[in-house]
Amino acid sequence: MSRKQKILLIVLLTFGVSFLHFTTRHQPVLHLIHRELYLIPVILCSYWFGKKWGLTMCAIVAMLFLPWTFMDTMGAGLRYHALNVIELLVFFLIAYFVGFYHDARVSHFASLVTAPEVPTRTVMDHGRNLLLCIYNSPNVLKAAKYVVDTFAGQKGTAVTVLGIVREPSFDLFSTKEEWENAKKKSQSEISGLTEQTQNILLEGGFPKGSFQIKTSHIFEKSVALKIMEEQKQFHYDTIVIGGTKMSKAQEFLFGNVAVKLVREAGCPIITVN
Amino acid sequence: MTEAELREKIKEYTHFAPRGQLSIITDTTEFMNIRPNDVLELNGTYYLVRGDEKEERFDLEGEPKFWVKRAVDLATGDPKIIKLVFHESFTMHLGGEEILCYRSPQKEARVLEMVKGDPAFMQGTTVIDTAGNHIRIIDKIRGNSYYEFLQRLNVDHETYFHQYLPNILKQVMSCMEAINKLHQIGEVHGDIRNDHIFIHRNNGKHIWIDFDFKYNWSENHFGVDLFGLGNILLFTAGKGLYSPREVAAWGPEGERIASDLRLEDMSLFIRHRIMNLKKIFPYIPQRLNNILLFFSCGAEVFYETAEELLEDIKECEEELVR
Repeated sequence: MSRKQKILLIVLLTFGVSFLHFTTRHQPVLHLIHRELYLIPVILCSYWFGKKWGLTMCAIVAMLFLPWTFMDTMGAGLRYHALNVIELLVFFLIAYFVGFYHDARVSHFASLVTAPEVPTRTVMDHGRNLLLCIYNSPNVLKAAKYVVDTFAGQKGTAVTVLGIVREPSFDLFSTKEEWENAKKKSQSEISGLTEQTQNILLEGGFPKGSFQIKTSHIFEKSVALKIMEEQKQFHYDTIVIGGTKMSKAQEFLFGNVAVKLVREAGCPIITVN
Repeated sequence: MTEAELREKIKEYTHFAPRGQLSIITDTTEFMNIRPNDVLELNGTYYLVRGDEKEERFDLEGEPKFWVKRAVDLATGDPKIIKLVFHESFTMHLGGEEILCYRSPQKEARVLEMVKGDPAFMQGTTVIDTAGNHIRIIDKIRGNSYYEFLQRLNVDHETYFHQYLPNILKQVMSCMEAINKLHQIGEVHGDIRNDHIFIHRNNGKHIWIDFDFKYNWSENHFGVDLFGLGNILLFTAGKGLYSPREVAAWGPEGERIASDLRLEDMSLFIRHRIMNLKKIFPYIPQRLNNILLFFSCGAEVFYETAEELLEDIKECEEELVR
């Protein structure tokens, strides 16, 4: 039965019972029975729509029921009116408990649908020991912000920030001086990025003792290989790196650190683009 | 050697008596000023300069390479190629990508030392002149380039494929194995081209020349070299390189083939170069064609090492021999 149909039924029942109730005012037994029939729309409303609507329905019934009761039976004693009020209170109680049952049922099913799988390892175990790699990717600082957004709230997370300085080959320079300058430039680029990463972590709520900064110099070596060596030695739970968007031709010629790591590293890799 | 002795040697080896005063040069920094009939004195050995080498490419008379001199060793009469120091940097354009390249004398000197005695590479020594320049003295190879050899093979493709390719592919594989060895010791060739393989006239050995290029690489050390190896394989399998326009010019059949070509069939770097040779020559085995397609626009994964490429080619070789 659709929601609209249920509402229609409740409305019809209410009017039907009211009709019966009011047209049998002078037949006490029937009048009494018809009064109890108000429970039907009240219970249905509570059962189908919950506590709030059940009590609302009850209030409507009370408005339909009570004024007539007082008008018609002005001469009746206090006991009679008190009994009517008590009757209405019982209606409200029934509406409340049936509505409560409906609400509890609905929230129970809802929790079953959205409940996460009970993990065999806690989330904390997955995110506990992170390696955040700093190299010449355009998304390095985004990766740092991702670590802050995702892991800062998790107690016990430790971050190792690994700055990887690729030293240029001397073959690319005509003088030693040019080579030394290029080396210094590479070093300073990574140092700058590492420092910015450190600030991002601190501002993001990582306490100073929860992360360490390391720098590694590589020469004629793949960054991905260096990261995998580091992972093999220190057994990080997760590696976070800034990705680099590349065309196919670029990937062919220059290689892609993230792709290599995803294929070959032995732990979860998070690439931030 | 005295000047008189030098003149005698020059006459002996060149059948030509030099006129005027001999110019004996020990500092080769200003290589533009080194002319034919000058004598270079390098590490106690004298070399008569005969002229400048030329950058010949694809049958065209190339530009002179002023830093590379043709010379004669006046002690033995052996022809030599003397590569002087020229620090040149330039940007190589490959399929829209820019690669910073550098002509590195010290790199070539280092590789020459590493490949000493390996017949797959040109042989030579490095000496240092009075100004500290690293001069590479290379043994001249008597022969033609692989490019010239294949171009001069005057047979149709199908005959070439079935009768010549198995042996030629063997030689090409030995060249690739040599490059693989180079990669394994951490070096790159830097300028892999069909005309940088020379075939020795006497023994047919395929020899790599000119490895003074160094390129600035990021994550993949061998990407540029692998691109070159892919081109060599394409050239070998196709006995040439083909574009849709060339194929369409063959006639109605060529037009039909050209109209069937898609972007995925073309080279990742040179968009007018057909990699899917099977569309042109249907008898090319699928396995060999698949290797070529790893260098095409349709490829999703790529070779990362020469070893991977060689493993796949070895499987094709067995198929071709059968």
